[in-house]
Amino acid sequence: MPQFIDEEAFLVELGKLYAKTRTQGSVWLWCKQHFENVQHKKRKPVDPEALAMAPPSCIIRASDGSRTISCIVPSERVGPFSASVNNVMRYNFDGLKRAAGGKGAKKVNEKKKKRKRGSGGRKARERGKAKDGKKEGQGEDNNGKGGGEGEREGEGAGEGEANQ
Amino acid sequence: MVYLEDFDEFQSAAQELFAKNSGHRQVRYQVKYRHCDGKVVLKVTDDRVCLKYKTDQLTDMRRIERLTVLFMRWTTFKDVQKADQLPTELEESGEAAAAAGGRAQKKKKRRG
Repeated sequence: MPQFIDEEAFLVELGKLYAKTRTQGSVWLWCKQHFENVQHKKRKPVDPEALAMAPPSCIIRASDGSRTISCIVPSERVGPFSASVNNVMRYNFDGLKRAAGGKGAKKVNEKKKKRKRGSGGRKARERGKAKDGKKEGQGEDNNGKGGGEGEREGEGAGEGEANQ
Repeated sequence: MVYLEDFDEFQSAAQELFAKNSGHRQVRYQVKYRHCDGKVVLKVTDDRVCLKYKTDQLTDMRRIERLTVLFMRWTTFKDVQKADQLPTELEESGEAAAAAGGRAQKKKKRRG
């Protein structure tokens, strides 16, 4: 018969099992329904009267192959205890793969783009000055081009009138 | 041993197996984790029928947590005759908040 430990001790030992098997080995965590003073035997029917009398609870076990820990959780404590077990699993299941094109990857790509643009810094300022210088020069050319375009527009209008 | 591809199909089959065997045969839910391989294998069996689901994706972690909480809740039910009698959603206060709170704490830690 396995020795049953209390809930807090079970959670602590479960964390230790996961820490112990980081480089090799597996951790099995299993749970099933438990009725006090009712024995379930393979291929034999259960006493229905005993089953009706006994309150249901949850028995949870964890093992790494060499060591097994067990805990019985009454039905009223199952909710908070299952949340605690989830926390332990979430903390230790960090060897799973993240999605390639997920939200995390998108955020990383956006950060890289922001860094490339460069906000502030000496080089960014010099780049900004160079851009301003080019814009001023382009402004004079644009005026010339604009005049040319204006002339072309006038020509176009003239052509339109001629067609009519 | 049957490996199911779809998690929802696995969950509904586990629910039916639990309801079918309620009162006369015990159904157990097992989570096996290997950190060196980065794989999780879920198993639900009554020693006659065996349902399995394996994954190596972190995105399935939320589903695994949800099913763990649900199965532990199912163990508190007695005289279940149909699968519909078993809950399939977490309660608003308590289990769902605890599941979401852990993720929120993780996000806060990453920002810090």
